[in-house]
Amino acid sequence: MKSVSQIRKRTALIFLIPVTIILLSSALYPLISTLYLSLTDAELENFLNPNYVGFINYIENYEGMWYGVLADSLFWNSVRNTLVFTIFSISLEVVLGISFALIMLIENKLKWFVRAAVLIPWAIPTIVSARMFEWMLQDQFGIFNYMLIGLGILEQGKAWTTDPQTSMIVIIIIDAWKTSPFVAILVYAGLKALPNEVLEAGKVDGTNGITQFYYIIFPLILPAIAVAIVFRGLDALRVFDLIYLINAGSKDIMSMTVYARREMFEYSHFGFGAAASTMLTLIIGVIAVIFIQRTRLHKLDEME
Amino acid sequence: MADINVNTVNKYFGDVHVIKDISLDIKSQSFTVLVGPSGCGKSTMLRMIAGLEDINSGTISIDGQVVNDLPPKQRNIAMVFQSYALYPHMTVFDNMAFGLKLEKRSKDEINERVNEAARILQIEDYLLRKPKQLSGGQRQRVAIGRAITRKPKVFLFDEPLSNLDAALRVQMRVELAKLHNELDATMIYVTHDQTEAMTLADDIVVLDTGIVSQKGSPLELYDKPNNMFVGGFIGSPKMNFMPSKILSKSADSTEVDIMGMSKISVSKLSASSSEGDAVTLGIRPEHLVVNGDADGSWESKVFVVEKLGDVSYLYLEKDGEPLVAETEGHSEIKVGDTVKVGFPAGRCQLFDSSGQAFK
Repeated sequence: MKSVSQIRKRTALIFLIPVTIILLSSALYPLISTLYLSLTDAELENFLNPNYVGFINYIENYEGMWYGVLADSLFWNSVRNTLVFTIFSISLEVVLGISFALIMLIENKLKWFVRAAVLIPWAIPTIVSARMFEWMLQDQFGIFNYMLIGLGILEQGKAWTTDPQTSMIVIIIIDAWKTSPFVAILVYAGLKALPNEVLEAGKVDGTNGITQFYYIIFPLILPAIAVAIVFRGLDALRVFDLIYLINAGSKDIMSMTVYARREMFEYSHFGFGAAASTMLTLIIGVIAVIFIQRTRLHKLDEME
Repeated sequence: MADINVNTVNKYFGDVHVIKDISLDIKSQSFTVLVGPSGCGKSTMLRMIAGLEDINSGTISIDGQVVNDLPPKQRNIAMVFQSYALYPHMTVFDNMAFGLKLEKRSKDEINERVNEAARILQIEDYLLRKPKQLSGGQRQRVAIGRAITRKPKVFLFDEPLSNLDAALRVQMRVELAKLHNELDATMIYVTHDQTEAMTLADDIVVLDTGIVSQKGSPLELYDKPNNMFVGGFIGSPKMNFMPSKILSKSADSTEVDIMGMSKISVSKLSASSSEGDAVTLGIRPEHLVVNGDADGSWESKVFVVEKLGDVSYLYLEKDGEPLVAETEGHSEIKVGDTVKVGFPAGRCQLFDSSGQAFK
């Protein structure tokens, strides 16, 4: 006779088989093949029969000069751009997301309108929102420049998306506009789950709007915010579509993914691009692990 | 110190009229229990005193000051909630210190007051734990401690013991009574449990569908219920009600016929009733005389016997009317036996057809 716990363990294993197969074939296989590709000299002409070359795609000293992804200043520039984009866009999105969530909480006749209005930017495909902003910010015909000139702030139209000084700011603002709703939904769910009696106990203890948020609401929705930051953080570190659509060639906003794509599919340096992709995966992985450790997100069920 | 006056207060939730012209005077330093079945408006009443619900009309004043438009923190009250409502992210110490911290008290004063409350409630060993590491009874103590540290004039309790198991409930009940003696504060306590009401209260306010059914000391309510609702609500098992008819009235008593079985003369009067009126006779199970002498009696078959050790309850029936009688714990009476139940006239209550008691 098998004990109940043995039967349970076996049942659990059976249920885990399908997802394991899917994960192995959809995540692990591409990961390993990319890793393998990064150790070869694969280009378009020898893609099927590449030679193993070791780590020279990552770093190599050839006649006193350093080569490879890790020696490429453009790669590190793209890492810096990605980190700047991630930190600032997420900060903005968390602040806006919490604000939107608090607004969504207000019970009145307009609440359905407010909720829809908050969610719409997230429902619009990136290609549409990118083009939309591109036109609004266009130097000659864009409404944004038109308004600034009308107000006397600018003498003549500015090319916001291509100007090296403003392009990163523009990308961050578009991303915040687009994805704050996602943060808002998660925070809204967190707010809805707050125990009402705890808030009332706070009122009896003497909280006002500000102290209630600071001492009670914020600490209690922190787990929801941390989850939102992890999701948004992983998305932001892999950002591709928005930057590619706004200005694919500009090194001022080039992200790690745009860099890897250019090496692979524009220059056909598959081995080199694969090395860049591997570095990208590594960097994201390290950041994610540090963040999750720091926020103790893996112990979420022990928090309350 | 802190009298509470509720003056013709009304409360509507949408179209539902939950509090109907209630007026109450609650004496300073008294322990008043609001009791009633679910939906009678007792919690709403408490929340209006706390300032967590708006008042639609009428006034509530604490210590002579009308508080209708004051937020809870300016009413000098503390409240203990049914779900404890502890701040889950704060330690026990911080939970109890939170109100003082918001009042910007000094560190020393906060320490002193929290430790004092912890000592009274015997939770000194848990001060650094989080609420989720505590048992239900310990959480309840912390919730009470949080109320004590602020030294309010008025304590409000919203069914504070209903989430505890039976043994702990009895223990906490005794501690609350002790606490009331120590603190000299006005306490208002909401419960649906009439035992809690009887044991804790100086004054009980029985609420029924948004009106005060009766207010008085526990024994007043027990001995002289104003109406059938209070008679039935206070006491366990509940009072027996039997359809009866007035046979004759005299200067100091009313003679009734109980279901055509027995005649009895009760020294209670009602000016509005007359001979031949249908009335209800009420008598508590503990006042029925089993197999003994009484002013009136009848015989009945026993359907169920509940043996509680100290007493036994006999479930009887006569012409479809149930009747519960109390007898001694080691009674020999068995199911199927026929017993003689007697009615001592001095213990009988009479209620007219609208449920109002004869005086």
